[in-house]
Amino acid sequence: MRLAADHGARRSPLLRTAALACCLCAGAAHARAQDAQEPEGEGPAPWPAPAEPGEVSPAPGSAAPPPYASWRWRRVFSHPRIGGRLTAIAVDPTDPARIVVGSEEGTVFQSFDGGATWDERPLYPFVTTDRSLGLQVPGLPRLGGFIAPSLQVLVFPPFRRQVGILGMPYAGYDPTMPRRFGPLPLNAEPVAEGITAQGEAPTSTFPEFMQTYFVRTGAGAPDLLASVTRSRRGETQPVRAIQFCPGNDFPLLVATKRNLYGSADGGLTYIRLYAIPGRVDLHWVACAEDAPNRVALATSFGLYRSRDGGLTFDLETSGWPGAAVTAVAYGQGESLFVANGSLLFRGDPDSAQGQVMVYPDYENNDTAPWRTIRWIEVTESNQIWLATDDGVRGSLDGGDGWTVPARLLFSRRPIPQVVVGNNEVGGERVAVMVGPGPAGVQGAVYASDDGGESWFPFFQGITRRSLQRMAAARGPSGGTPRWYVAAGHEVWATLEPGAERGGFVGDPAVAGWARAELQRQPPLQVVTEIALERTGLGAREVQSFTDGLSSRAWIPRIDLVFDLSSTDELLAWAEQPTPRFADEQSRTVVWQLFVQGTWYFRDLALVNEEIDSFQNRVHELRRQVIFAVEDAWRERTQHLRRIAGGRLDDYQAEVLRMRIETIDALLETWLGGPMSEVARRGTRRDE
Amino acid sequence: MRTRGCMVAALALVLGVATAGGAAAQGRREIQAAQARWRQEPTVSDCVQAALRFFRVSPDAFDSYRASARARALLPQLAAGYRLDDDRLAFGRTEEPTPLFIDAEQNRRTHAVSVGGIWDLRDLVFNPAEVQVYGLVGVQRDIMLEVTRTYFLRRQLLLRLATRPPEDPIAYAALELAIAEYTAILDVLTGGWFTEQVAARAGRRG
Repeated sequence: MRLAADHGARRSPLLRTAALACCLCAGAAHARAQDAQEPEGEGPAPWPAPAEPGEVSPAPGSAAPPPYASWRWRRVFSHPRIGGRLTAIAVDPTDPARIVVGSEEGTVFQSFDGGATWDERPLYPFVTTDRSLGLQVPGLPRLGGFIAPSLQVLVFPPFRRQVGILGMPYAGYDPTMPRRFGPLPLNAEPVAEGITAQGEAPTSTFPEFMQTYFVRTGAGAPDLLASVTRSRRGETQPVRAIQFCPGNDFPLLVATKRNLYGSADGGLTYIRLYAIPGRVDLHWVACAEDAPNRVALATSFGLYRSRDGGLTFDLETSGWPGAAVTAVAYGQGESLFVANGSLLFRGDPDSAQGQVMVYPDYENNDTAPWRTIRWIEVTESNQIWLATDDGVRGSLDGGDGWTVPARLLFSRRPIPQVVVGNNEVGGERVAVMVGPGPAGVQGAVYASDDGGESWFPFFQGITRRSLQRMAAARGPSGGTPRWYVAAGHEVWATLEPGAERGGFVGDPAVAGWARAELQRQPPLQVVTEIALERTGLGAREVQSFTDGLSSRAWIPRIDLVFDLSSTDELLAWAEQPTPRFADEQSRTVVWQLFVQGTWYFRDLALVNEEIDSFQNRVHELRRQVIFAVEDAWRERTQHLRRIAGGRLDDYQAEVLRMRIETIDALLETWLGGPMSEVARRGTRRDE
Repeated sequence: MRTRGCMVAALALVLGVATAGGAAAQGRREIQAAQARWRQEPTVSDCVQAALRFFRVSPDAFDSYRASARARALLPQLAAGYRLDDDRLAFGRTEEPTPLFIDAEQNRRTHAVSVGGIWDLRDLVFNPAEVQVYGLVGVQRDIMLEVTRTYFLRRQLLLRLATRPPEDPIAYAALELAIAEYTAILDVLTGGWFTEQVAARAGRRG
């Protein structure tokens, strides 16, 4: 039974308790009535919180959810490295408050209090390299690097006088820079080698007469931006699957892209259990509920099974040995469901019959097209749900007959996952995660509480991050079940009805500090604008660059050359027999000053392409900065609200306060000052 | 009878909450003690600034790069060259039947100097070098995120060690090892500045 006592936060615990006791006696009848409605034996829920920025209820215009689905979603976790991606999530079936999330960097985050605080644990030692700072410092010349020859085709105007140090004809061809024209001396000694360094834009034509026929070919500025903004995700070992296996020697299994890890100490340390030689990818790991230490590993080189909790594995030879297994799940007993691409096999591999193909049913064309199976979900009632690259397939009889539920909703859309859990009234809920559609349609989660007859949007339009994985858990002490969705770098969880009515357990002073910080916090729009301006990516700066790029063709390049030459000539002449002698000495000094303006009108034809490329990359960089700042701001707000709610214990509140400190350090650097100062600046700007 | 029952229940509740309040106060004291120990460590903001300085991507460095990039357009590219030509000609001529002998020698030596400057005025309106500074924004962001993340995770483990230490000695050692790992990462990201600062502040206090 919970009692709302927020207003009692300012009283001492003794007074508050006495008041509560009196209320208990006086209102016993009312309390009994509440007991009848709410589960017993439950203290304050581990993660109740007030309304938060990301807290969303079903959209009014969406398909009407069941009347009892008074769920709301709340963000419970953000990746500490803002922008990092979460790739797997699992909830301990024996302890719903224990959540484990895997990251693309090969680490796992664990929460033991339902998402209030999180710890990160590396799975393998060399995490520093895998976290991949990706320091590609641009603009610095590569000293001692290879200098590629660069020859160019020249077209001289007839009036141009050949000037220059060497006075030699220019000719050549530059295969690497077809769009760049300009004179280059071909057969003369270089005067100053490598005047240009990498980092020049391809549009800038280098000074010809002093540019030698060797030019350092470096990345241009747009290339540089592309290099910096490109994804470096391929360098890491993302977590592919997390599986709780109660009763196993290793009750927690984590599969990364190439390795299987197990933890026997509750997730504190991990041991590498298995890695298949060669570049074999792991897709999923499953363990049998009814048979301890039975583990199945889906790999790109077939199915591997273990009978000792994951210490040793054998390649499964029934079914389709050697073929890539895209999904695996245990059914009742040791019955195993294995997906080899678009084929599904069922059965106990150790039985005489082995595994038998049960899908697709080629005699039932209604279930076509048969695309790759990505997920297998087997329910206690022997239903089988398949997530495929083209919709969902379901079987209500253990795999004998198949149907295509909600064809209009799911067909032609990739389905990464189907999860079966419970709804608010204890019934079975099937949730289908739909991948992104064409034309930028975002992914969503739809759910059905009637075995697939009707569907309603369960998680839709709540975040713009791409959906990764979801998980379902029973509620604490038989309470309302909870659902989790990992999207981008966030984890969202359902907030059970009435969860806001938790008691105040935190330090009132800390809660007061959080409330004051919330009031001082500047609006998100102000924060992002200032951050963009500070990083030189404000709208005005970007526009001025674009304008400059457009008008570049009209501005000349000025060449100024001064030549000075002094020639001493001696002529001695002797003729015989008529004696005639001549002795002539002369000195000739010649100087010339040459001024030339060059207009690159050809840039008028190329500039649109350049501008587009430039704008695209700057836009990508702006987007990254905006996302990072937004994430920091939202996470700060979320933590402050949670502390202000006062329903965290001191440890949890301190962890969140420390996190807020680190976020503030980020924001201060981006904003050029503390948040309070930014708030004042924003106010002045508004005025 | 009912009144007495209520009083007993209230008393039990008061005692229970008083015990819980004592535990909370104890936890609060532990947290405050841990915070006092951390005061000798650099703040997260200091660490971020140190890492940005170490990698030369601090906001000040950005401003400096941008200013330099703008000034670059006004500075010419210079080139200078020197050329020496030394021509020597010995000429001999004999004619018959009217005898004529010519013996000539011609020496010519040329010293040539060229100095050139180029002002690319196009860079005044759009300088690709300025765009390069944009590329550093992503690097700066990565470093900041990595430093704050590492700092936070380390602090969180320290807090756990101070307030909720594992009972298992191996788990305790693993926790200490993880803290050492994050400390080392902070040192890597700040060029050893973090540990130096901790030692220096501890020395000042000692």
